Amino acid sequence: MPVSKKVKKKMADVFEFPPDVVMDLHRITVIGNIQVYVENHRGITLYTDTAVKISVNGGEVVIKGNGLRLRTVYSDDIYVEGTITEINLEGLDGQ
Amino acid sequence: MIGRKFLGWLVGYVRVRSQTPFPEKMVNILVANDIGMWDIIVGDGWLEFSTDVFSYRKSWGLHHKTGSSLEVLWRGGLYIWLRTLRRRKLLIAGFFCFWLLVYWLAGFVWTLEISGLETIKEDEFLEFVEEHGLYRGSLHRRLDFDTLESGIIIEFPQIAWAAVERQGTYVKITVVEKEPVPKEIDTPIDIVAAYDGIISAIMVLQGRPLVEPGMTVVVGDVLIAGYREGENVVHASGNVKATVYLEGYGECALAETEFIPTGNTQVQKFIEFGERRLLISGRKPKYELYNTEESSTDIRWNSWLPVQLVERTYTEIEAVTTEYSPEEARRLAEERALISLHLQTYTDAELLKKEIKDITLEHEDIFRVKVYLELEVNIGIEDGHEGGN
Repeated sequence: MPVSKKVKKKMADVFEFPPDVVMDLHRITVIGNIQVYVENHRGITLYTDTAVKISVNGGEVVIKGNGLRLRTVYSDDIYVEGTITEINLEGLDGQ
Repeated sequence: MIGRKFLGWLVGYVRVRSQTPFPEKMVNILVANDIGMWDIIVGDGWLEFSTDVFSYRKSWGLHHKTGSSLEVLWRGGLYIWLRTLRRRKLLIAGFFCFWLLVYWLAGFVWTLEISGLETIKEDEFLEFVEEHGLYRGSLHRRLDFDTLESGIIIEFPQIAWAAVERQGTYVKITVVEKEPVPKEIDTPIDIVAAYDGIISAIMVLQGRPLVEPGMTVVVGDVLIAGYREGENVVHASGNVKATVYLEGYGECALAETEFIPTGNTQVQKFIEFGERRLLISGRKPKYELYNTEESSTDIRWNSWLPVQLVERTYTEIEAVTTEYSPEEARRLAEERALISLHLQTYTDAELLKKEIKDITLEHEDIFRVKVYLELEVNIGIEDGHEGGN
C-alpha cells in the first residue's frame, strides 16, 4: 500500500472520518438480489445481460447475474438491476 | 437517482440510439462529461439510452467528435409535451371545451326522484316543483332548495316534512305525509271478544248485553252492543270476563345443537345483468359452516337497464352442542310450552288451573310436554262498526 494511502487510512481511523470519503473509495449497496448501487465509480468496462464490470479506484466490481440492466448511470453513481447471483471485487489490494 | 430521472422527465428527455463500436467506452465518455443516463441497453455496436434534453445537446457534440452517429428514437417528458401542445392549439381548445362542457352539463338536473308520496298525486307534486324551477333538465345552480322545501310544506298541508337533496346531477325530494286524522266517531262502538272462551261474568256500564254467563264465544263475537238513540250515539262500555282454555307444547332434546355466529364475515360484490352475475370483488370464504345474506341495490344512473349491484355477505357460524340431564330437559320443555302460549298478551289474567302432561314417547331422546291452562281473562275490547239500533 502506498505511503499516502496508509496516512489517509490512519487519519480516517484516528478522526473517525468515513473511509470512503477520505480514501476516495467506492461504496456498494445491495438490495436483496435485485439491485446494486455503486457510488464513486470510474466508469464501466463491460456491460452484458449476465455481467457488469464497474471500474473503481484500484480495481473492479464485477456483478454477475441474469437480465442485468443499467438502470441509471451518472458521474458519481451507477444503479444495476436484475437477478444478481455474484458480486466480486477484483484487483483491489488490501486497503 | 430517481429524483434526477424525475427532473429529466420535467425538463424533457430524449431516447437515443448511438452507433458506436465500443458502447461501454461511449458510456464512460458521456459520464465523464457529466451526462447522466438511464435505461441503458447495449448491443453489438450500438448503445441505447435516455437522457434529459440538456445532456442530449452536450452528448451530440461528443458523438460528433468520436465519429459516432446519434439517432433520436423518441422524445418525452412534460416540457416536450407542453411544447408539442403549443403547436396544437386546437387540442388545447378541445381540452378546455371538454371540461367546460362537463361543467355545463353537470349544472343540470338529470335525475329527479321523489319518495314518500302517499295521498298526494305525483303529477300534481311534479307540477308544483316544476313551477318552482325544479324539473329534469333544469339548472340546479339557480335553485334555492331551502325555499323549495318551505314552499312544498306550505303548498301541501298534508306534508309534515320535506327535504330536497342534491348529489351531482341527481336530486331527490323526500317527503313525509302527516298521519291521517282519525274520523270523528259517529257510529256506535261495540265490545267484542278478543279470545275464545266461556263467559263467566258480565258487567254492563253502557250498551246492550248480547251474552250471558255460561255462553261460549269466539274471537270477534259482539258481547255488548252500542246503539243509536235518535241523534245520540251510545257506545258500548263494560267488563266481560270469560274462562279461556289454552294449550301449549314444548320439547327439549338431551343434546341440542345451536348454530352461533363466530363474528367472521366476508363480502362478495357482483354486478347483476338480468340473470347473469359478474363478480367484481371478494371471494367465497373457506368457512366450514356459514349463512349467506344478499342485498341488491339499483345503480343510480341506471333507470332502464336491468343492472343491479348485489352484495352477498357470508357469516361464519359454528355448531355448539349443549347436553342436558333428563330433569333439565323436562324443565326446559315445560318452560318452552309456557313460552309458546304468549302469556304476556293476557293482561289481568287469573290462573284457575294448570295441568302439565308429559307426552314423551318411549325410547326417545326428546322430552315433549303439553301445558293446559285455564285462565279468567277480561276478553272485551272495543270495536267500531255499525251496531244494533
